[in-house]
Parts: sequence; structure tokens; C-alpha cells
Amino acid sequence: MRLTITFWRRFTQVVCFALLVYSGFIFVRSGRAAGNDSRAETDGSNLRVSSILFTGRRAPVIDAYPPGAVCYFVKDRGLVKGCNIFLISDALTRRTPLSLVLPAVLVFIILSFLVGRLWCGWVCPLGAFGDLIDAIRRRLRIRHAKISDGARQGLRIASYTTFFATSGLSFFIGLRQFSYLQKYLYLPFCEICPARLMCPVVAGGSPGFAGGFATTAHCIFTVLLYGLLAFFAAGFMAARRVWCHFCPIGLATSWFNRGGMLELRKEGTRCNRCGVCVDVCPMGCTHIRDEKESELLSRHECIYCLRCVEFCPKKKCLRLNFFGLKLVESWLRPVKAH
Amino acid sequence: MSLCLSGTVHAAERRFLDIEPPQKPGTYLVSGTVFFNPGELASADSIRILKTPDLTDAGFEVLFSEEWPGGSGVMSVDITFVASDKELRTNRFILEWGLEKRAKRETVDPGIKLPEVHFNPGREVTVDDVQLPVGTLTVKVRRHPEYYYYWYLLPIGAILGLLIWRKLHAR
Repeated sequence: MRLTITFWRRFTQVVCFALLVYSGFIFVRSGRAAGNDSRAETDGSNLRVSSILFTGRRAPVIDAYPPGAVCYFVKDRGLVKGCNIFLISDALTRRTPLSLVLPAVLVFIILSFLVGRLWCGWVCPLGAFGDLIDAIRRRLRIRHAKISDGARQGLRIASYTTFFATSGLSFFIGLRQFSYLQKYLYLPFCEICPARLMCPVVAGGSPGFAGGFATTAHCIFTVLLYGLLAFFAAGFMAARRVWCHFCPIGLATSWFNRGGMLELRKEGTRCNRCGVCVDVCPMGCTHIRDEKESELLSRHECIYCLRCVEFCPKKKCLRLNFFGLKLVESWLRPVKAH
Repeated sequence: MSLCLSGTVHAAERRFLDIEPPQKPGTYLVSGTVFFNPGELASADSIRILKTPDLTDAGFEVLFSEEWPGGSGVMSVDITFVASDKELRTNRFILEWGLEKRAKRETVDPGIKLPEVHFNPGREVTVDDVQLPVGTLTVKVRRHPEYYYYWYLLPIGAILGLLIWRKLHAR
């Protein structure tokens, strides 16, 4: 077995997925971390949760919000508390003091500045789920649809719009006179987020709410939510990493791609415009091949999966720098069909 | 600059239950719903129903409870307990919450059909109403304690400044 970049990326994804999704099961249930929060012991013993919106009730292992779709609603909770969209929505609704939000913002900015969207390519559980579906698609020899530059731009604008609309809604329901809407509209973005559907399901929970099939209304919502999950899975199957073009966390992290410490660079004189980099790129980035003027390729779409570096047939054409130091560079390698 | 505050700290929150005493003699099923603000009540286990004048634990059953989203504690509880018409006329019932101890729970047999009386959470119980265990606490607080947390803005600003500088000079 060759220890390629892809091998290490898959390995990291699996480890991160296990930690971020199953840590609650591993640590909290086994009692090793239960002492961190008494709710882990008492929660659910006497309370019946009737809300159709919420499933997660247990305490997280670490009270942090890293970049990546790390879902708050995972059964038994994961390694961390949740994603940054959850943090922002929750803070806007509950009017959390800025002093309590700033530490999480600082952590997010530091992590994003250090590695940009590497979180999306190597750590994010939803990204790993998308890659798994993509691997199944390849095994089934189904061709994927290519997302055009215009469609990518449209998804990016839609992402901005959705983010600001849901954030505004979160603020709105935090007003005293509209607080009764919180029961239905609290964390509005989570209602459409595939991580909210996928992560609880793979952790052994329900995608939408704790009721399952208890009543007719619960049955309808459960079926609808499983349908939505199937829709997202089909989307990942049809186009590689389609959600990653829309994901607001990826959008926020992408601001750090250009100017951050991690840099994908190209030596233009070595490039023969063969296009292998574009073919293997899960985000469909075409600028890796087309860029002629700038050496820096770290654009907002790039998730640093490094498939372009791995499969580039030109030695030392592409390289990844961290703090200006070369981490990895392209080398000759036979290219597989995709 | 610091600000000195003094106040009386109650051991728990207490409210009278407004119950209309029944006219007919007999045993009644008293029920009602109590709502709590986010963060006010962590668990339904921390609720008790007390009976005046000696504040004995009356025992009750939580029929249904609902949580605030995001782990902010209990949103509402439906409570029921059994009391005679004499108790409802002569005693007052107090809802107490906030103590970290398990309440006395009783299960009301659903097979027994009792006439029902509903209650509403009434006014707050004060020291004059009952003998409450109270203590006085003097708290010194900063006028703007949140200012201490704003130091986070320094590294945030520095990193964002560095990011913008690098963006402008990236080639």
C-alpha cells in the first residue's frame, strides 16, 4: 500500500469523523467524561422532549466550535459543541453577550488563518460523507455532473443570502414580542443543513426529532426528513462536494484561503495545461490549470484536498506551503480514471 | 472602579399556586402548567410542591415537561397532585424550584377518576409569607466586567489585519 496523500486524507477523515461524531458515545456514555457536566448523567431520565426540532441533549466533550460542519445535534454529542453557524444563530437569538462569543470567534479565526479550508477537505464530517458517496459513485461507474463556474458563483451568492437571512431570522425571534416563534424557528439554518440530518443518523439517532414514529405528525416529519437526507445524498452523488459550494462555514473559512498561512502554489513554467488537476479536483477548480499570471492558487473554492498536487504529472509544478515552508509538491504518478 | 451591591439571597424560587377552592367536599386532582424562562430551571427534578403553614412536601407528579432548545433547561412542566377540599380551603400550596435535590414524586393512578381543579402560578412568595431560610450576601462587581473579555479583539484584529495585508500582497 502506497502512503499517498489520498491515503492520509482518508485516514484523517475517518479518525476525525469518529472523534467528531462518536466521541459522545465513546466518552460520555462510558462515563469517562460524564463528570464534566452533570446533565450528561441526568438529562433524559425524567424529561420527555416533545419538540419536533431537537434531538441532541447531551453535553459535549469540549466546549468549542471549530470550522467544519460538526453538528450540535449528534446523539450523545460529539467531540465539540457544534459548528459556527450554530454558535452565531444561538448567540443572535439568545442575545449571548459578545464577551462569551469572542473566544469562540478567536479560535475560529486562528484555525482558519492557519489552514483555511483544509478543514473542509480533511476534517469536516459532512465532507467525508460526501467523499464516501463519491467513492460509491465511482465504484458504480456513474458519471458526475460538472458544476459550471456560473453555477458555483450562484451557489456562493445563495450561500451569502441564506446565511444573512437565517442570521436575521435568528435575531428577529430573539426579540421579546416574537420569542414565541423560537419553538419553531430556533436555529433556522440547521433545519436545512445536511449535516444536521446526516450526523445524528450515523450516530444512531433520528434526523429530525426524538419522537420517531410515535404519532402521525412525527411519522410525517420523520419521513420528510429522511427524504431530505436522501435528496442530499443524491446531490452528493450527482455532483462532487456540491454542498461545499453552498456551505456557510466553508464560505467563512474560504475568506482565509488567500492570505492565510497555507498556500497552494504553481510554477507556471512547468505546467503543460494537461488538465489532470481540474479532472481530479472535487470542487471543480479550473484556475489551477488556467492561472498564468499568479503563482498563488489558493482561491476560495480550494479545500486543500491536494489531489491536484498528488496527480499532477509534472514534477515540482504544484506545491503546498505552510508559513512559507514547502510541505509537499507534485511528483510523477500514473493517473487513474475518474 | 467597583460597585458594591447588597441583597437577600433566597435558597430557592417560590411562587404561590392560585387555586380556586372547590365548593363540594371530596378529593380533587389539581393540575396546571408552569412555564420557566431559559436557564431558570435545569431539571424537573428540582421542583417541589410545598404546603403551608409548615411547608411540608405535598408530593406531585410531572405529567409532561418540555425543554428549551439548546440545553437551556426546562421550558414548561405539567404538574398534577391530589388534595382534599379541606386542604385546598385551609392550606396554600407553593411551587418551589431551583434546589438541587430530588423532589418527592407521587404517581396519580390514572384509573381513578377524580374531579379536577386547575391552578395558575401566582405571586412570588416573600419572607413575610412564610419562614424562609435566607442569608445576606454582599457582592462586589465591576461596573463593566465584560470589558475584560474585549482583549480578545486584539488578537482577532491582529490576525485579520495580517490576513488583509497578506491578501493585498499575495502573488
